Amino acid sequence: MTLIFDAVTKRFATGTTALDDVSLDVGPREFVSVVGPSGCGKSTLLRLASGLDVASSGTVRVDAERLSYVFQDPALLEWRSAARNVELVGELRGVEKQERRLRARAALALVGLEGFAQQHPRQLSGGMRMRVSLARALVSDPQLALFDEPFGALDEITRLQMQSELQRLFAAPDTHFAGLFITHSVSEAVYLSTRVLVMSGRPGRIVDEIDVPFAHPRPPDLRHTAEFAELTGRVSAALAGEVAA
Amino acid sequence: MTALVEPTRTVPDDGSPTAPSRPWWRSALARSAPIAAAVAGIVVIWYAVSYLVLSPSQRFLLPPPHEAFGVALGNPRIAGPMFEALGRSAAVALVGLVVAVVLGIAYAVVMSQSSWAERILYPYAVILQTIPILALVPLIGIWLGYAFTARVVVCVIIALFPMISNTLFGLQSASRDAHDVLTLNRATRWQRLVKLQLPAAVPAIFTGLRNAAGLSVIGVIVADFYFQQGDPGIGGLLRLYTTKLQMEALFTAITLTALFGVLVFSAFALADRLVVGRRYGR
Ligand SMILES: Nc1ncnc2c1ncn2[C@@H]1O[C@H](COP(=O)(O)OP(=O)(O)OP(=O)(O)O)[C@@H](O)[C@H]1O
Ligand SMILES: [Mg+2]
Repeated sequence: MTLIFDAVTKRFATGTTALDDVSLDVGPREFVSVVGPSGCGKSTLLRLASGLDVASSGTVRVDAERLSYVFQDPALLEWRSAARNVELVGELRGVEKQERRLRARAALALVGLEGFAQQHPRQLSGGMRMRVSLARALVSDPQLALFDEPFGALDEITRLQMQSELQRLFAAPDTHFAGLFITHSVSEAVYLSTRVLVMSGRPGRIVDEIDVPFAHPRPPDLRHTAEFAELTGRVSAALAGEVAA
Repeated sequence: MTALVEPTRTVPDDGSPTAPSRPWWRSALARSAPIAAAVAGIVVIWYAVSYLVLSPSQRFLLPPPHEAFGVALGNPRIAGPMFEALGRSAAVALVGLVVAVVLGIAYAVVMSQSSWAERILYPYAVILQTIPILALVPLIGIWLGYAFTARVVVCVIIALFPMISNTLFGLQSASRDAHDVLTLNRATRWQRLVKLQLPAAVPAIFTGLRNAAGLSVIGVIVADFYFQQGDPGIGGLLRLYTTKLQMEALFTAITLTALFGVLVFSAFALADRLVVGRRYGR
């Protein structure tokens, strides 16, 4: 699995240049976060990576058979139960009924929702809805998972929980995905990632790249260590340099 | 009505533990309390006008309810034809509604498939909506006669637009993210329609259905009123009673028509609550 952006520029018909000469790559078992000011083109970056949109120039190469996408909004179908929302992926891809049921159940168990399979989205809390969305993304056993600020709308406590959950899933023996993760939160980026990319304001360019050497799985109190503070400091400084410029 | 609502209670695919504890008829009763109160209010006003506003010599203009109903319903030669006419009109309204629903949903589905289709087809729906129906009714009579078919067509013309516009709105209501989920999983056009757009449209379709049902009742009264030839519908009798100044029969017929309209509307409102309320949490 590799994802490669080579000198990618995205200009919309409206004249907005969202991305300017962006190059990056994500290798197997990497978890790369992208932080940047609002409107700098982070969502656009993911849409290009997923093939939902195409670059104006440059090349996007995705060498992954199975790819999944988690949106900021859980984007669940409200008329389907949690289990049937997860099954949707199998339905669309022609997976046989028995098989897709089993897989949906397993994916829900993976995110800790085995007791809530039959609940409809409106009966679930915001955090649980996001877990269903994660289960839907993981049910196809993706090689590349794209995340567009998935925890941005959650309260702080739930957010920290979801971060632990996601890094546990990333490190779990039964998942095999590389991640590309968009966020506004510097500590979230450092906590989750093997590498953090810092983007400039629009038009978005990659202005810094910071390796995060901690091993997975990561304990929650990693956030309180001096090494962690040093790394978030570096990302924040890179970001601040951009905001000031 | 029991037959109508039972199936939605027994859909087997979820053992949702939060099923409401009140039986459906209790909540239906609670919900119909305001409309019952309104009916009672109307009866009170009716009596008040009859007895307090009108002098005895004018009272024939608005005979009190018990007198009006007593005279009309007590006389089989009035009540018999009246219920027959109501039955005929109800059949027309129902068939008209079914046709409007099928056509309206189909038309909206076609429009939802491309922005071109929408741009080409939507204006016809708008024109249909803006032509005053009374301008068309005589023409429909000349072309199609004055019986069942012509009356159904009038109902369809009146009831179609809310079906089309609500369904289209519903089909387009799914979020971009939800569409992207389907795109990323390589959904076909058909899968997108049946797994996303149509289910997303169900609440709006029910709204359309409620409006179309009310309009279909109005449609049949208009058609009956203008198509005097052949077996009369309730609208035809309204006109007959008016010209013959049979005030008791007139008020009874008006009341029956109104009750029929309320009944149809309530039936759909109830179905709406049961299907949409339960599945969609609205
Ligand atoms: N389909 C589109 N057509 C025209 N302009 C667009 C389109 N999508 C995004 N843009 C513009 O491109 C720029 C980048 O948008 P994008 O959504 O990628 O930013 P973002 O970094 O994800 O922002 P946020 O942090 O607020 O989510 C914005 O100025 C936006 O207005
Ligand atoms: Mg965004």
